[in-house]
Order: sequence, then C-alpha cells, then structure tokens
Amino acid sequence: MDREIKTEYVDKLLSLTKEELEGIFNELSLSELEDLISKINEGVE
Amino acid sequence: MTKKEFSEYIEKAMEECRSIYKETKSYTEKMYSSAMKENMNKSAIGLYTLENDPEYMYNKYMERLALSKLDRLYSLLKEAARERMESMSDEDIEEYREEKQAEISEEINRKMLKFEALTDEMARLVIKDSIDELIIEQKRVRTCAVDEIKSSLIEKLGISKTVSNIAPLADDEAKVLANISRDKETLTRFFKLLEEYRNLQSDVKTIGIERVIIARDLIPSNMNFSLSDINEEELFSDETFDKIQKQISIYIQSAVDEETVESMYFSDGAEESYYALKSTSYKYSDEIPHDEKALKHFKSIITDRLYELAQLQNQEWERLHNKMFKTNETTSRIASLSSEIDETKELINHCIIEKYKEHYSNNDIYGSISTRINGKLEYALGRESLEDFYNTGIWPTKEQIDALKRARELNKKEAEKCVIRVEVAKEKFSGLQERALNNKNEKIELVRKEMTDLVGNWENPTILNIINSGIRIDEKPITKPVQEESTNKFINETEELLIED
Repeated sequence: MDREIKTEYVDKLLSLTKEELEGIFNELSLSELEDLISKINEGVE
Repeated sequence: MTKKEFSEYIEKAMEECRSIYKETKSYTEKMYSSAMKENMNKSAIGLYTLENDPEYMYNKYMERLALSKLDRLYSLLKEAARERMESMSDEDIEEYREEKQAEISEEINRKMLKFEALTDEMARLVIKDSIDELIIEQKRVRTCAVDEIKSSLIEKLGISKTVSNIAPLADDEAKVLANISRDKETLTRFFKLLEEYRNLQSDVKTIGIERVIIARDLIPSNMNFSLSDINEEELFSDETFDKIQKQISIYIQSAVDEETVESMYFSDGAEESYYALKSTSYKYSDEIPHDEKALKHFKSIITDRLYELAQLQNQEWERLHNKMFKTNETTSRIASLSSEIDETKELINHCIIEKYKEHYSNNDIYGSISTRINGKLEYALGRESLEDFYNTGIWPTKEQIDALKRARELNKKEAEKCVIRVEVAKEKFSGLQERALNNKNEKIELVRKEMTDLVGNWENPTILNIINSGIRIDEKPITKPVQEESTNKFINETEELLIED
C-alpha cells in the first residue's frame, strides 16, 4: 500500500472556529441536528 | 461556510477517515497474519517483529490518526450540537414536533396499507402491534412539553454531557496536525522521533526511579534521618553523600555508646545488686536516721568505724528524742547531731557508690535505682525487650538482654553495609550514570527540536492530547525491564562488595 494521506476535509472542519461552528449550527433545524448526530454516532465502521 | 457546504464536508470528512481506517486496518491485519504464519516456523530468536517494519507502523499510524481525527471531529460536533439544542426556542421545538408528527402519521398510513394487504394472521398481528406503538408515540409527541422533548432528544442522541476540553483547533494547531499527516515520510519520521523521544524520557524516568530505590537502601532503617527534605537534583550530589555518611557514622557511634552503657548495666552480678539495693534501700527514716536493716546489709562494704558511728548516732538520736523535757542544750545537741548524721550518710553513700560503680555508670546510685524502680529508666525507654523492666521494675531476663544485644548488633551491621553502599553509590552517580543521564537529556532536547522543525509546535497541549488519545505507540508490549535489571545489578554489585569485604 502506497498512498498519501489526505484528510483535508477533516482538517478543514477541525480548523473551524467556535464562532463559525455556532453560525452553521444556528442554521440547522432540530430535525437536521438529530440527523447529524445520529449520523456521526454511527461511527467509522 | 454554508449549511449545504458543511453537510458536504461532513460527508467527505467521514469518508476520508473511513477509507483510511478501513484500508490501513485491512492492510495491517494482512501483514499481521502473514507475520504470524512466518513466525510459526521460526525459533523465538528469529521471530519477525512487526514493530520494526516501517510499512506496518506507517499504516498503523495512519489508521490511528484517522480515528483520532474523526473522534475529535465528533466531539466538536456533538458539543456544538448540544449547545445549539440547549438554546432552541419554543418555536423551533414546535416546528420539530410538527415534523415528527407528520413523519409518524406517514408511517402509520404506510403500515395501515400494508396491514390491509396482508392475509397471514400472524404477520397482521405484528404490523398491528407496531401501529399501536406508533400511535402511542404520536400521542406522546403531541402532548409532550417543550422541555421534555428537548431533554429526551439530548438524552437520545447521547449529547447530554458537556464534552470536556474540546474546542475547535486554532489555525496554528490545525497547521501542525496537517503537517504531521502531510505525507508518508513526514508521518513515519514524526512517529519514529516521537517513539525515540518517549523511550528517552522513559529511560530518564527509569534512572530516577532507580535512584530513589537505591537512595532508600543507603540509610539504615532504624536511623532517624530522611532524604525527603532534599530536592531531587541535590539528592545524588557529593554533598548529600557526605552528609549521609556523616549521619551514619554518628548513628554507628551512638550504637557503640549504647552498647557500652548497656554492658555496664547488664553485666554479670548487676541483677543481684539491683535486687539487693531495691530490697534493702538505704533510706532515711523519720524516727531513726540510719535504717538498721540497710546498715546491716551494707556492713560488708562500709568501714567498721562508719558502721559503729551510725549505730552510736542512732542510739543518741533515740535517747535525745525520747526525753520528756528538752533543754536548750538538748535541742542544740539534736541540731548538731543531725549535721553529724548527714555527714555519716554521705560517707556511707560514698562506700555504696564505690561498690556498685562497676555496674552503674551513674554515680547517683540512689537516683539510678529509684528511677528504675519507678519505671523511668530512660536508657531502657522504647526498647520492646525491656518493657517489663520499664513498666514493673522486674529485671529483664537473659533472653531479653540477648535479644536487645542481637538487635543492636544487626542495626550496626546494617549501618556498616550502608556505609559501603553510599561509597559505591557516590562513585556510580558522580561518574558514569550522571554522564549517561546528561547525554539522554541532551538527546531529548535534540529530538524535541527535530520534531518541532519537522511539524511545528507539536508540544501544544491540544496536539499532544490528540496524539496521546488517538495514537498509542505503547500498545506494543512494554519490554523494558531496564529499571529492575539495572537496580538489581547495582544491589548485586554492592552485595558482592560486602561479601568480599
């Protein structure tokens, strides 16, 4: 296996400031939030 | 970033990590099983260890880094979601309630259609049960208070607790993290250096532990001296060693002194003398100045003249005190007789002291004896084997005295061993080990600098937290018995020296 590591999307999300995150989350409805958390709760596997 | 862009980023980020995780995991598992097969035909010495395979380790790091990043992302999102959920307005909740009700209604309708189409009674029963459950749920959603919906949702999503220490990465932190995973070479190099850094730190820590263990053996257990007040840097300085040696010398000298004193107190015949004195106690009488019984006991050790004088003084004292009418002359004679009696007593005391001097170092024989009888014999204080003597005034048995001697002898030997241990430790720490320690500390600095040059400020607490929580190099079996080996080696060397000595 010989591939470069690319995690640019994770890195981009991790580098969002608290204010930026708040701004995005304020746009989300309760159902959307529910979906988002359910999605990340599913994990990697 | 818009809501739509954000949802795309989430998808892609999860896919990135999932893909790295799955590929690397599958790759390392293959390598692992192939190594296991290979090792089955080898002896223990020739075993193939994956930890030394850079390709394997690279993939392991990638796998863990992907998980670590994802884990951190989840924590960030969950925290942001929880905060958003907490700050939801009543209108938001009402909107959610309506959406949920609509969803449930749709599902009920779907199931009703399915129910009507089914002919199998059992299958119809199952569907009916699930419809009943949905109706209950619909009713609950419709009547539930706003706060209840909010808290049950928070609970359901597992975001009820604040995620501690999770904050978005600052620009420089994100840069360092991106630098670490920039390319295969950097990642492998970084973790190799990190491992070296940790090993060096572990070695330095090991030396520290070894020092503490050795320090503990330098001081005799009974000695009233502790190293706890000395700071670590000064612990193995020549000054500290000199101080320890001086304290041990004082300790040994005091043990020798005690031995001398006790050998006087407990020499042959001491017990007999002790009981003789105790039982006869040459004491002062209120009625007759010289105790007749005591005088008789001491007759053999005082001169005949003294004995006779004491008898005469007793007789005169008795006669004068028995007079019914005491003239001035009588009173005056009684006064002078008292002085004479005191002088005689002094002389008798002197004889007794001379006699028992060989057993008691304290010239104040009465003081010494009465102290013993009253259970206040200071030299015996704290000695368990002499407790009876201390408490009851009963002379210690031969076994008790022997036990006391043996204990003292052991303490002395231990102290003498410690003198040699201090010598050896002094030589060891002022030489090779000190240099080794300094070399390791210098290496740590070099490795640390190289890592910083490679990826930036990796010692930033956030980055360290990510590295430590997600990527554990120490999953490998820890095969570092250096500390014990080294310490045991030192103790063995010392023991050998003692035996030779």
